Amino acid sequence: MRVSVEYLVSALLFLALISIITLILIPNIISYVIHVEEGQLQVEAEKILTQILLSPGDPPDWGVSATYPYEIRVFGLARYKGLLYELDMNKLIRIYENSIENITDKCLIDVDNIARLLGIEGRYGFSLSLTPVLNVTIRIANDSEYCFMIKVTTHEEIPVPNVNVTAIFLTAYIDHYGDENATFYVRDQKFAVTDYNGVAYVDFSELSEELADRKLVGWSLIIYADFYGIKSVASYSNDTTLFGIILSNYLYIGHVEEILNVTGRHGGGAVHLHSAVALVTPESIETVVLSRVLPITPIGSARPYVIFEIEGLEDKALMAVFVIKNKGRYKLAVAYRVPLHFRVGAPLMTSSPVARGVHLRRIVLVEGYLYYLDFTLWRLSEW
Amino acid sequence: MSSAVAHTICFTALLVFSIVIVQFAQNIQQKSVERAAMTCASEIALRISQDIVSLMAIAEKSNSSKLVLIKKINIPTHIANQGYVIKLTTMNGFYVVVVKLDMWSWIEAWSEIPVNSSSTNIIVMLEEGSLTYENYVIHYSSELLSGAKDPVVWLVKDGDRITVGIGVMECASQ
Repeated sequence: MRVSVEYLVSALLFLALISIITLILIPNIISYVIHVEEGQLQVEAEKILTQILLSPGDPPDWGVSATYPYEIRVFGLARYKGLLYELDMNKLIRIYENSIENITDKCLIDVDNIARLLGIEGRYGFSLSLTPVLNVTIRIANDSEYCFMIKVTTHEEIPVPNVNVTAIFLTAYIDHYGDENATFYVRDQKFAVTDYNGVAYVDFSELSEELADRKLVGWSLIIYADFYGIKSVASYSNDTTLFGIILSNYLYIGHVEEILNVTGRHGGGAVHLHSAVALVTPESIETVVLSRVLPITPIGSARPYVIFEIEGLEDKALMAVFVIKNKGRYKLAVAYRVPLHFRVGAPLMTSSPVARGVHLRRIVLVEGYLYYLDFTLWRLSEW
Repeated sequence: MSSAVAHTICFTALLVFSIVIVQFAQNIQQKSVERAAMTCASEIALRISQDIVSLMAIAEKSNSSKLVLIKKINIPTHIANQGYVIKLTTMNGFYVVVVKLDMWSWIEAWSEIPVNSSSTNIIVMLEEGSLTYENYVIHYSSELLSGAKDPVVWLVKDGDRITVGIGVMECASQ
């Protein structure tokens, strides 16, 4: 009996010794391997981001030429023959504009498509976000409807003084032109410089008298902020509808039923488009008369959208402003070219089941304006 | 039961237990080495695919219509005391860099090049041949052995068409 106890004690001691060694050794080995794997995730993220930001893809103009995702052989957001880290606006619209399928003949290139085109589907998850380098906030000042407070801050909410602010106020009204109603645009421009608090005021109240007797449809304020060459653009509108998309030199105008808040089989009746469109560029606002104007009928019908090819739209136009008529009401509609900010992919949150992820930030150029591009990559499974 | 029988039974049990424990420890060590080898192989695959993507980015952003880019790659001669093969191939419609160990064939790491193999503008060279550039000759192939001298990633741009591959570089005058 005593002999058995001695052997049992020996065995237990032996087991304890092995367990202690294993418990100490294995976590050390695993933590080393995890460290290397995290480093690999960083390299993987940089490789993917290099591909996204520096390659125009194949075909290089896929933002305009490709209708479906399978037509894209190589994914990349860079502008063909553009500068380093200059992104193609037409490609950006294809990945973030959710209503693109409703009002154009193009498909949305969503996160799943992007992951598949990059060859990371099922292995990595990612998010991509674009935000202007200068954060421009526009508010109506207390005293007047046409007086605005513009605040410019950094990403970290630090006020930026001495920013040159150019404010363009565009108003649309309806008036008789011969026997028909026609759209007229009034444009005014002001300059200001932000103070120590990053705030500047622009006052367009002198327009209120001029517009008092007019049948006002709506207005839009466009702000260009320039801080020693770092440029951002922002806009603010009253009672407008996002109703169009600019792709290359094409203006697509369509019918998004949710925006009109209509019910019923026919979506609240046809939408009639007025032929005068104001194209906003950094230098000017040009009024273009559309070649043909057709009523836009609801989604699912034979004519859910209308395409206009407009000369000069391709290079500099930031937005197109036009007037639509629906159920007897006029409404100002805006088609943006330059995004204010967007995010694609699931955001990386601390509460999410994502084990480890890496985050990269680059400054990119979109149509002459600087943006932060944030890219986060994480593994969907660990081996 | 005599003391000698008890000794024999317990000693045998302890011996078997010791052998099992040693085997278990060896298994853990083997798994650790394999995982480290796998990590090392994926690191090599990842670095080579990153080099290829970087060269493609430089070429695509370059205004030159004709361009040759060569980048030497520093890779270890062994992983876990074994030689390995670097291979360019296609997988699920994409070009990939595969690193495979000679002896442990089950250890195979790969890293994709985000270029669809149907692309006509960007081609990853999967054939054998040679390329002469000034004093240098690049012998390219879809496979590269770990012990090869002067392994390189190379790229040739001709108009809008980019061809990229791996190979070994040697000086023509040697």
